[in-house]
Amino acid sequence: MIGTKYNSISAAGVVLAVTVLSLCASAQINSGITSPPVNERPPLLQNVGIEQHLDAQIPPDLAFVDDAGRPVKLGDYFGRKPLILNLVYLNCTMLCGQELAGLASAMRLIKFDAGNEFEVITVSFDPRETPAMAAAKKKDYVGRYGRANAAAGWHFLTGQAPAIDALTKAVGFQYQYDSKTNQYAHATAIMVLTPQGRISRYLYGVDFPPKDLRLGLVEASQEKIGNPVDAVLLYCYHYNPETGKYGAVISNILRLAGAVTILIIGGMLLILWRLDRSATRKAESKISTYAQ
Amino acid sequence: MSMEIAIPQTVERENYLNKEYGVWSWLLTTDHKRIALLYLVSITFFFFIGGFFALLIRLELLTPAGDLVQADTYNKLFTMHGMVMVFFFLIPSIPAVLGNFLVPMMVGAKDLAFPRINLLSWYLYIIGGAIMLHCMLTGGVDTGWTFYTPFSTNFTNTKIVEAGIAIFIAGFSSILTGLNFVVTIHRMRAPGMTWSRLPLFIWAHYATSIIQLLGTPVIAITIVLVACERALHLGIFDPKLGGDPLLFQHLFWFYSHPAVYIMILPSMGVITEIIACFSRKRIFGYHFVAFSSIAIAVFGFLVWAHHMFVAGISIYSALVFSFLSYAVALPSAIKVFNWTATLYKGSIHYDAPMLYAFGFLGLFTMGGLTGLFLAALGLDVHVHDTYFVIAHFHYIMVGGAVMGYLGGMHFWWPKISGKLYPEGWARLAALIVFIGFNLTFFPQFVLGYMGMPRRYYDYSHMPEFQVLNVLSTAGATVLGVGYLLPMIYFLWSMRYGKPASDNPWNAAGLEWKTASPPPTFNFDEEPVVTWEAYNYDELDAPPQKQEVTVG
Repeated sequence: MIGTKYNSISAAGVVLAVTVLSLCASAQINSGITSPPVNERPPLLQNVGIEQHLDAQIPPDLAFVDDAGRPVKLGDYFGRKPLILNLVYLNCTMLCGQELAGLASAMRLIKFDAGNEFEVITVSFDPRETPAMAAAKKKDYVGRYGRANAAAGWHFLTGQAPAIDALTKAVGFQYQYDSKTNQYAHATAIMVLTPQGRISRYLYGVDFPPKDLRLGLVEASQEKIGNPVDAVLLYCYHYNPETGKYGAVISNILRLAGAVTILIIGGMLLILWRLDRSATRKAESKISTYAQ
Repeated sequence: MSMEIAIPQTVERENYLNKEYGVWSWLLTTDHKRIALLYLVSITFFFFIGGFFALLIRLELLTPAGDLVQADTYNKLFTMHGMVMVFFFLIPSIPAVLGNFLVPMMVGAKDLAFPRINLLSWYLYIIGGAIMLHCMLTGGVDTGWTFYTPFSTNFTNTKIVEAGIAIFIAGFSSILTGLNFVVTIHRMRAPGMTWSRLPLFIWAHYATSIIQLLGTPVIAITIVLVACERALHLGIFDPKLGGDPLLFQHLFWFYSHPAVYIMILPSMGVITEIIACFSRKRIFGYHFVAFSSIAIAVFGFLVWAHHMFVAGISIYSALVFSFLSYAVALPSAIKVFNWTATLYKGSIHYDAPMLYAFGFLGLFTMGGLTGLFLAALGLDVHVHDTYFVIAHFHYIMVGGAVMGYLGGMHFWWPKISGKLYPEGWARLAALIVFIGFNLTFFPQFVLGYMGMPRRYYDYSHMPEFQVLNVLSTAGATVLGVGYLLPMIYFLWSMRYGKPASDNPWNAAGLEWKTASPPPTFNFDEEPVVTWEAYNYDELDAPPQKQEVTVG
């Protein structure tokens, strides 16, 4: 896996008191993991990477088996809540475990509950894996996540090669089997889907900033979940497909800071003018007493 | 003039100057008048540092070859000249010295609304100034006072961050002064002092304070962003990292254009007071002059991108900004016409403050009109970054702001020090300043129009520019003498000057109705205002009708 380094800006816009408006941009240099073009990859990784298909529809009729052994279609999960989709294989000894652990710990840090505000679908792309293995993994990660109701909101699916192929093609997930090690070479990313099953965001890596996860879910839900603070944050942070992260939009932060400054100073002047009017009335009566 | 009517004084009255002695009585004072004097000393210090850099610049340009200093040194000279003069002299000059001294007295208050914050703002200024001094002594900055990116963020090895910190801190001094004035003008006015009875000096300071409150935070942010970009490569201004290099120029000029109005508006306030007093007339069109100050403050925030016509902004926004820049000339023109209308049929006295006011009228008008040249899209392309621009803004900022500052210092010196300055010398100095100024900067209009770029230290490829440069350097020398003279005779007058009466000019305004120098709390009893501003017809009426005033 070759990671190209991108710097993403994370800036915290801080508005201080009336007079004190200052913006502090804090550095957060993240290495977004994205795939270089195919012709620049080493031979072994020629077919490994993620090709973004933003806004593509996931085929709803793909058949899988869930962790309880019931046959399901992907479309069964669509239509209600934003979804997080990730592709792993359960026997993976390297990245997949880290990815699932990273997802679980990021989900622990956001207020939304899997099962309430959103759902998670973890699909194994190894056709040899079984619902029993899926159930074991589910028990492990739902336990780590540790929220009530999570078992109903986090689905571990396994399935046959045709469905897996169709799904991985739809999301642009490219992987390669290495028979020497009996392992797959693959990239890691989670996909945030809209409730209708369209791909809204790709978040790369094995470690997902909770802010990105939350903002991704809020955006995927078309802001049906979340609060006004998220709306402000989404004004200041935009998704950057190149890095797969949310980065600060400095000009919007500045606009916002400017508006807040004007409101504060305008408010101060308004109050002063109102106080002034009453003071003038008092002073006039005082002068008329002098005159008498 | 009633200067010859000396008030017999056997014992010196207690006033703000002789109430306490000793260093701490000054350094810990919360008296707005003493803080004004602290500012006076500090800005004079920085004025002479900035002037020293200017002198070196002019000496370098005396000959076409770059022979006095090296290119890098020259870059640092004009940068430090600009930074010191703008941030440490011009912006605090009239508001922090004359405004601090006069705003409470003019509205009839004992002090500013927040006396301790006032002292704090002086300390912030001093801390900022000390950092700036350290920065200059250990290498300085070479970007020009404008800090333009990407040179400031990616390339120069000079002390950007340190200079930025200095300006950041000094900026808060300016913000706090503005806040103090706004609240004082609103909340501390004496009974009967309605808004339409306020001296226009106060209106000008009110408008200035609003600009300081709204604009200065933006330069503070901008400097922080430059420092962050420089230290951490965040990609705010660097297009390689997704930043926008024009964003810097937008932010910088969003403050720095209104900053020009921070310098010129108070000066306009001073000139209004002087012209009314020395024409012995109520100011013509009081409300127009008052509201034109507010209009300048508002429009001043909408013209910044006229500094960026050649920087690659869209032609449509350039058109709008060009139009708005013409629009901001209107309130300034209203002022100039009202001042001249005040002179009409006035009983004009040619005392030194009035000479400075006349100087201001002519120089500001020239500076303003050449500003219209620069606001014109086509012509700006021709003269952008030439000496034409340099001459234009020096006519505004030196010909306008500094003339007003000196005029005001002369006008209120009897009130500040309780002593009269030597009138003859003062008139001579005013004349020298006027001649020296024009000799320095008028040739620069011509030079710029002929194509001499700003910030070049070597013009040996165009030796025909030398004559005008020699004139300019000679003028700068004359101007230097003109600036030294007042400092010398003001200091002299503090010891040897004749004592001033309470109202040596027989001027209107509450500050003249108290003692010279004023007592610590300004007035022995709270004044009650029953007259309109600039009631010179009443003041000049035959004495039997004159009201007896406190003082």
